[in-house]
Amino acid sequence: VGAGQVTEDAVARLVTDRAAIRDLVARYAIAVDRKDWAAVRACFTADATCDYVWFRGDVATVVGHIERGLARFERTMHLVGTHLAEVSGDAAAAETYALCHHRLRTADGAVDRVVGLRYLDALVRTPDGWRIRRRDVAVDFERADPVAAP
Amino acid sequence: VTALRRLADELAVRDVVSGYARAVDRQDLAAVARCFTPECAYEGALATGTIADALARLEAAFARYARTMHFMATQDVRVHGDAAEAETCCVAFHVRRDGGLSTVGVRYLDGLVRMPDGWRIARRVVRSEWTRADPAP
Repeated sequence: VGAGQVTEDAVARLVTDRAAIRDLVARYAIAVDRKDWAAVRACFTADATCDYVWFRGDVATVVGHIERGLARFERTMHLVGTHLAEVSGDAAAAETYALCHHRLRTADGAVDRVVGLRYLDALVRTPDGWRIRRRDVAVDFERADPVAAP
Repeated sequence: VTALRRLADELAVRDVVSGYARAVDRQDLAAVARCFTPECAYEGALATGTIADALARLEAAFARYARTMHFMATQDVRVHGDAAEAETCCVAFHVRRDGGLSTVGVRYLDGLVRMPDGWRIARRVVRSEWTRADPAP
């Protein structure tokens, strides 16, 4: 195996790791929107800890808070945008921007609550693929707009 | 050039544009500067000239807002050897000091070059496509 071959392998590993990490972050967003809490938990290692600003703790605690917190919303949509990740062997750090739309039905009509936040993740490679071991959330802004229709 | 290396280059180009967003949002002027070649041509609301002209005005722009969030979305990247073009749509949220929110739909038209230490933006046109303003909640 020549030096060129090794480099090609390294490039392949980087590109596939980055794609897997990006997929993991997207999978979390979609799982939350589907209220598929088993799928949400599966994005994290068993020993992961999180700080979601409004609540913090281990995965069971945090996912429980997310489930109860989102229960009052008809629907949510977590849009994922700016994403950066640095891979170092079997560990990685990622920062991902999200626009989280929450549709709320009130006596006065519907409200679209928008939260702009960033997920700051420390990830590890496990036998089952990349998982989040530590997640911190930074909230950039919140907005609530009345929805005219429907 | 293998398909794999082109993918890696595309990823690196995306990282430069995303890295710009993060650097601006962290108000890290040095990290912003590292996204560009020193003589990068720049045309946008901040300045018309070079990146140095834009950087000179960026610090004052930082001071106007409590926080910003440059949410990068639609992106088309084309790599041609050691040069690349990237078009990126961004929703830039500017949290005002009074708690209000100014939102701008921005289109970045970038020409990038491969430097010894990675890809850099060598030419940038910034177009503000739409805006909205929301009062403090």
